[in-house]
Amino acid sequence: MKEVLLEAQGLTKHFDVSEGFLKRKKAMLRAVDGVDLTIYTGETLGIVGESGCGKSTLGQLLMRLLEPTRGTLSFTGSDFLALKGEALRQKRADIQIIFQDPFSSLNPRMTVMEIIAEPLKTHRIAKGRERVERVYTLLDAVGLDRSYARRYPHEFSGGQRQRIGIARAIALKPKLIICDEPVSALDVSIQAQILNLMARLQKEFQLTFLFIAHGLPAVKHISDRIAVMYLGKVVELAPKQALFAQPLHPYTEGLIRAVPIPDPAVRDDRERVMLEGELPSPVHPPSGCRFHPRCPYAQASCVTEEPMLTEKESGHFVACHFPLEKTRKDLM
Amino acid sequence: MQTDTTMASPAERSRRIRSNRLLTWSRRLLRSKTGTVGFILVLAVLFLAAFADVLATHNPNEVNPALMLKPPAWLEGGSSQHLLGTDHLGRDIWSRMVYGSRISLLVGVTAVVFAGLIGVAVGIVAGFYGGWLDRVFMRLVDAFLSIPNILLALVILSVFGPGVWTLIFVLGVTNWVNYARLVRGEVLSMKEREFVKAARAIGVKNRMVMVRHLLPNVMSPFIVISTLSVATTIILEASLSFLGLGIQPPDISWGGILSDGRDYVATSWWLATFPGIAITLTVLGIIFLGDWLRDVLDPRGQNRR
Repeated sequence: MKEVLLEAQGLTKHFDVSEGFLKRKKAMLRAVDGVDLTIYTGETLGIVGESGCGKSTLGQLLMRLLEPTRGTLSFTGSDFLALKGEALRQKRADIQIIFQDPFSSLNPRMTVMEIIAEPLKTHRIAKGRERVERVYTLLDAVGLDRSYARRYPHEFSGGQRQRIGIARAIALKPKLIICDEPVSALDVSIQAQILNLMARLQKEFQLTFLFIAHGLPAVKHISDRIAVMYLGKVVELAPKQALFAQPLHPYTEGLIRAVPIPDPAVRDDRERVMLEGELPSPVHPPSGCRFHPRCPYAQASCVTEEPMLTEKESGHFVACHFPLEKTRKDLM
Repeated sequence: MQTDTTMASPAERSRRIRSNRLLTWSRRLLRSKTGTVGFILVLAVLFLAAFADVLATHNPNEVNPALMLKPPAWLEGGSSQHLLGTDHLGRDIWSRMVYGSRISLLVGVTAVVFAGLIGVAVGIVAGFYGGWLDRVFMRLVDAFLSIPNILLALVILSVFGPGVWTLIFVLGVTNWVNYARLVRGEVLSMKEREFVKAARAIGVKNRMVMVRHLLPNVMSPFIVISTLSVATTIILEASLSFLGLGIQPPDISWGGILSDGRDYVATSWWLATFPGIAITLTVLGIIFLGDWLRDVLDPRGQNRR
């Protein structure tokens, strides 16, 4: 039986982008617009979408780095949004984050020791010699030399900095780690190393990951389930195998097709239905199904009626009036 | 290194670390030319201030009508009795300069520190919390900026009466807005950086986020501006002295000597020149030292210096 760790319902974040004197030109940027999401203990949930689809905002909403405009959020069975002040501060230890940019995620004026010790210090977990030992153990866990503790972030490469960020994130033994594109700023050769490290740590510390990425290949390796986001909404959510074997949403199909295939023999076999056009502005999202202006299969009803996220097959959710048929097996 | 520090007793270890630290700091200072020059200049002024009683050749307030406006010793008509000449009342300029260093330094540095403390605190709080707090503070800053400094200073000084501490208060109050704006701007960009978000995610208290993450990262521009404004503060003090609201006799400040000499610039240039040079060199020294300090406080620069 799978245990629910975090559950979001109708989670919404609107940013006020009104312009003009006294905000006469009212405008709302709907970064996240009614997302329902469940994260189970021990799994890795991948979140995929183009830049600007709200995936990073969603990640920050789930850990209350941003306050949602609407919606509910429960974490380990209790209402997470109800927490305030000291109670919230204590609870924060359970959800940590790893950032995309390893250069701005570490305070340039703190040593590695100070950076990794900060969570321990903040939650009064260990003191003095014991704290130092804990930091050393964490450095070991992420594969960094203990002698690095005295150095400053600028002395490290991107991959090493990311390891420092990971050590800081696991220091409190959190239940959930939001990984906000943790490898997309790294060299390809380093990406695999960091992904493997994260997979190993997940086993070792029984971590649950929410893994945010902008392309499917990045999450394919590490995720158990994948949610595809488009313009602030989840359009498809399915176990990894099911999603790749049979994408139900035309956008997911487009994303899968967008992945370059190195082997020309395989490549020539498939018809190239590529995603066209740009992501519309989240300030003025299209009517009906938000994907309809770019959808090759759009019908009249797609322009007027908004499809709801519904379970088409067991565990396979999609928000589309005309989900793709089983015939498209050739996609994989 | 690892082994020998663990083997030594705790007291011995901390003593060794302390002397090590002093050594690395002095080595870093000597490696930087501007740092060394700045340090020497500042040290020289501090020396003057500390040993004024010994260095002064005359009572700085001793009036001698027979020796009015004597040129410095090395010029025709000068005497070795009065190294830098005398002023319109026959007072020894060198002795006045030596004593003046005390109050000028005290006023210049204390006023800037005072203004800096208020400005940095307001800037960080306003920038970090944003919202109505930010709006209130920034409108207050605008209000202060809309009043000319010298006018504000005149009003406060005429209400409370002139005096060294009133003057420091006045100079601080007129200056803090500059720091507040500068620091707020830095904080606004800094708080969007991911290490600040990470700190919040960890559950670091707001107070600690400001002290540990924001403050050290806004120090560089602050040091640059504050060292520069030691100069403007000393000058502003001189202007106030000129208007009769600065340092009151018998207290002596460089600004006071400077404004005393202004009427005689055409005939007795040394009256205004020497305090001018003293102010310039002091300010230069503080700026150099500040520049060096900014560099060594930035861990990214350690290998270069």
